[in-house]
Amino acid sequence: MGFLIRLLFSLIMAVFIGLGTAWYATELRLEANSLSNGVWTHNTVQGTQTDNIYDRALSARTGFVYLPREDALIFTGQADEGEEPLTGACRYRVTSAALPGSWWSVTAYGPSGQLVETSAGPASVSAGDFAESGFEFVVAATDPGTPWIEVPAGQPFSLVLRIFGPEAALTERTAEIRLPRVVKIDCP
Amino acid sequence: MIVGFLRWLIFTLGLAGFVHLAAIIIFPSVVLHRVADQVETEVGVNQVALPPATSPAMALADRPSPDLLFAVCSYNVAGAPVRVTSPVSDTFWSLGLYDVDTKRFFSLNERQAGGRRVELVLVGPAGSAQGIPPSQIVEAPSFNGMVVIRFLVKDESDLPEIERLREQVTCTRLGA
Repeated sequence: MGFLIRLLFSLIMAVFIGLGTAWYATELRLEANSLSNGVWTHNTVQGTQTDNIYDRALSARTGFVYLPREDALIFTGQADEGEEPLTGACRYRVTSAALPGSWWSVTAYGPSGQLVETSAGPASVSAGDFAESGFEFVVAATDPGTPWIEVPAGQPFSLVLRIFGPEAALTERTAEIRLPRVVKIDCP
Repeated sequence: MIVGFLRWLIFTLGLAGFVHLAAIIIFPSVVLHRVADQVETEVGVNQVALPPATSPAMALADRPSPDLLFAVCSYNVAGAPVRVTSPVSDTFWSLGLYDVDTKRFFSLNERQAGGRRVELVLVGPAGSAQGIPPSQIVEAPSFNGMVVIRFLVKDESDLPEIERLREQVTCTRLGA
């Protein structure tokens, strides 16, 4: 009886430790594969085909159908240039010169990765909304009267920048190419 | 007493290591089967599903893009090859083939496609398809997996045309 209890306890501990360390290992891979460029981070494993089992698990965890790097690069912004987390309690100005790709979009997501719910404005803007030379828009909970992305008032959010058909300069020097700036305007 | 505890500890840690490795190795195929099950529940195997943009029910990435429309097919080439055809849009378009471990073993974009329509025949490991030009044959490393085709929607006014193209995607078991 004592042996069976010890065995059962071993099994429970092994599952707990095994799954916990597996999750933590993918978190470490996420950190190790993250590249920063201004306010944006990019997972360098996204869109690549690696035989590293931890990177494969990470890729499966974060959505396995990422496009190849030559087709699209994805950047996530969680904070503004002051390194403060993005929140619907504040307004932000996003500005950029022309991006080195055939198409781009910026989309706002809630904390669990779902598109933000909007009532009056769009959750996303893209290259088609602006001139080719560059763009400027506002991220806010209320309509600023200029191009904007609506985010829920007072709620945390993140921005995802997708650049389709990236130029070689971007895929080769991802950390160096100038990406959009995200600057806090105010927190009314 | 101490020896007994050390034995138990080593056994438990060894077992934990096994669970850790098994979870890491098996997880990708669990994810693929979960998505494939959703597709098969909706349309069946070797059939094309056209999920709405950013559909949470068939989310293929953790932050689904509102700019992309997907056509997906859960393939099974165990009994016969599967023919996949798709029109290619003027805007960004891509086709990706994923094996049972979520590894992308083939991809094509609109620039590489070099035409208005793509046709390929998917065969199983070491499989063949009689009467099919070799240039169209793609060998899958596993009998099951996913075909994922993406169309970029640049503007809402393009939506009817992209939807029309998306509806022309086919996934057909040959000899059925």
